[in-house]
Amino acid sequence: MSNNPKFIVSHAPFVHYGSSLQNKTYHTIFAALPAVIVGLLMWGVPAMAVIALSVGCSIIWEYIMNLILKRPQTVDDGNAALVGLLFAMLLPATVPWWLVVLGSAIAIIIGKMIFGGIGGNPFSPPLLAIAIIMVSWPHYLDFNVALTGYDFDFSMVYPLTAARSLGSTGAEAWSTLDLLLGKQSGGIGSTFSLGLILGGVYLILRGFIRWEIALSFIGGVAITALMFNMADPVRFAGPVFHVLTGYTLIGAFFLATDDASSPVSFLPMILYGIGGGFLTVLIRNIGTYYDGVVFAIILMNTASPLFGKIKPKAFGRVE
Amino acid sequence: MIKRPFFVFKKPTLVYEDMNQGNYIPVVLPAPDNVTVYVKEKLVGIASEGTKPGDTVMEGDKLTISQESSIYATSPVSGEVKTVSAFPGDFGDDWTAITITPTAAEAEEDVAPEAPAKKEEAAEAEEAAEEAPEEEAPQGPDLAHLVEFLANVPGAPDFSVFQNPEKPVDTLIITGADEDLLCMTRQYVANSEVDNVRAGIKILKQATGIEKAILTLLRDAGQNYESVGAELAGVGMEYPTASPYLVVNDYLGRALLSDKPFEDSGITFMSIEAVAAIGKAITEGKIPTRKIVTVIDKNGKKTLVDVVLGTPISDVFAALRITAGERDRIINGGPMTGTALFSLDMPVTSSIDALMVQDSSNIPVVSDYPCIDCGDCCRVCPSKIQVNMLARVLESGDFELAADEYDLYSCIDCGLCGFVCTTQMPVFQYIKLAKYELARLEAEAADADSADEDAEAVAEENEAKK
Repeated sequence: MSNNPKFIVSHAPFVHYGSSLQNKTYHTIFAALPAVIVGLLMWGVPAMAVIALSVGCSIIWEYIMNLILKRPQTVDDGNAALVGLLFAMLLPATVPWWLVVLGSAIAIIIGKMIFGGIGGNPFSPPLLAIAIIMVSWPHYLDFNVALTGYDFDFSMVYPLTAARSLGSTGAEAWSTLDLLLGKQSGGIGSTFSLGLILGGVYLILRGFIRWEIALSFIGGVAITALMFNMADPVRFAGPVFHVLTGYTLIGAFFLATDDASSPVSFLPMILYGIGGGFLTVLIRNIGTYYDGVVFAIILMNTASPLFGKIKPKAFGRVE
Repeated sequence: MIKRPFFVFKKPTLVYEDMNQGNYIPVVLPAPDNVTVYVKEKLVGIASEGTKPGDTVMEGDKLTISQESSIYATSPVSGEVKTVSAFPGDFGDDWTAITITPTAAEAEEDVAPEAPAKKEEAAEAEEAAEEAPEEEAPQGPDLAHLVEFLANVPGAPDFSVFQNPEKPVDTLIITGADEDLLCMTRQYVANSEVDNVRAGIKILKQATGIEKAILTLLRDAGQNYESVGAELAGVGMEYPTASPYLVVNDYLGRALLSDKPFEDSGITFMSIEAVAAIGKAITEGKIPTRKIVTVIDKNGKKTLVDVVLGTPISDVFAALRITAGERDRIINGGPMTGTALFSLDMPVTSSIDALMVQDSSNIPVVSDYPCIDCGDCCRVCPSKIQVNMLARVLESGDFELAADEYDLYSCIDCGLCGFVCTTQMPVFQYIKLAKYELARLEAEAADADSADEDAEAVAEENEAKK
């Protein structure tokens, strides 16, 4: 008996599929890079500063919170960096440094850590931070004010402002190709639509996000925008404009698909996505804010546990 | 085993091992220097009644630890009893381990298992087999004889389920398809012991009076089994279609919850190896003592071995040149549902179908990360359980809530949730723990109830006396 080696004894299953959280977050960061790199080329050093500060601060906030809460360190899972990156992608390049520090603190501490860290967050952390800043310091997120220092060969009016004030005539200032190539004013990483679509398709094909959520969100935006447009073609811009402007694409591929704050079954995912898209256009067209994505997804996040109640009948259950 | 592909278009599909894909012939191992068998009964103090160290036993002899107990082990060899000691089984069971050193003649003879056994060595076994037809029924032995002599044949048949008058069993499902991945033991027996299986089914049906027998076979390997006396059920290649719950659902149309044993619904399962062993014992007049085991080495190579029951696992590995060292893992059963073993001295028992060795570098880590709600488990679950919710409830220890609201008992114990889990949570372990704890609490409550009833009865008696 004594000459036996010590074996590892644990519970079945003894094999694993090989998926991991690190893999998932690092690939999501990778998928966001096309949009980020084009954003950096467009907005220059200030954008670089915002992104670096946001990612760095997010990691530090999570590190500090883990120390305070006496929990094992989790920064190596990459989620803090991803939250920081997504938050920076939503900001205009000229945002003051203290807002980035504060915003990343809101995202990590209020958005994630006080709920027990990853998996416990009821809202998408970067969205919660951007929502609080939108309400508290709206002028810093007003792209028309923030980005006046830049001069490009395209209209620097925020597309959604133009659409709000001038209707579909305002929207005609941008061709679809311009919008796809990022020739529009907006957040650092949310203007280059083509890059966001590429990243999103990559994440869907690799199975890191659910196509049900992303596509139904885009579908919800398109269908609702189409209905408005058909009702009053002069006042409301068309579906393509709504899909390619503002936070729609980053919302569909990177924010609404946040695991913990979205449902997991098929029908709830579809309802969640369509509902988010519907609310987005509703807020844009007849609400107070220019872009409805932030509040639409946060509202759907709150409804996500309710959607979870729609569940398939489990094996052997008679109800 | 499959790994996550680059593109993920669908949930992972695990398939059972198909024996026909390779040329698998069992390696016959000689009888070992010592064998160990378990008597599933607690040893109190030192062995004084029943089998004692120093006793000489014959192959097929009953080994017991007390005179009156009906629980016994069957000696797989003739030899001398070396030790009788307490052994802790899985899930808190207390068993007794009996180690026997075979006599030299026996060991030599066993090298060639095909050689006919000497009459006197198999005396009792033959008696059992011959007595029965003469005395009881002309066609075959009755249940009492099976219980008396064949309870420990390879495949570990459980005859007690046929003897419970409160829960009559009317359907016998013979599992010719292995329930776990990489295992081929039952498949091999189904392919190679057709006549014995035939005989075994006939004997079992006569002895138990069960009309309805179902034989599960992988895919449609049923060409050898026409008019075998059992309905044939072809099991799909995709894991976990051979799961008992899914077999019952697919072929009997009954989706059963796992909170009660199958016997409560009149269904019982028996390994095809046990059926073949019963058939072989009665036709040859000798209790079978050899078992087929699938051994999966560190590289995933599968070898079938034919070993004497009670052979230490270390002997099996030595014969196949498998080394198991520090921080490796040895598994009884397959990769999805097996149990890890802690010692190489443990023997091959009648219920071990497969032995698997994993190198320390290949052992996936189990983490204490929380669930992130990715939903992979929900999509892969064959029972459509909301595993993300269930895992949360189980993590907080609320087992009753899990059973009432989150479909704990819909789980068919396939282990796929733990296999796909992104944060490598031990989801399957939580589920098994919850089921075990709930069963334990229920048993305790039942005990308390019966104790109360006893107390009441005594009180009533006292009243009456007054």
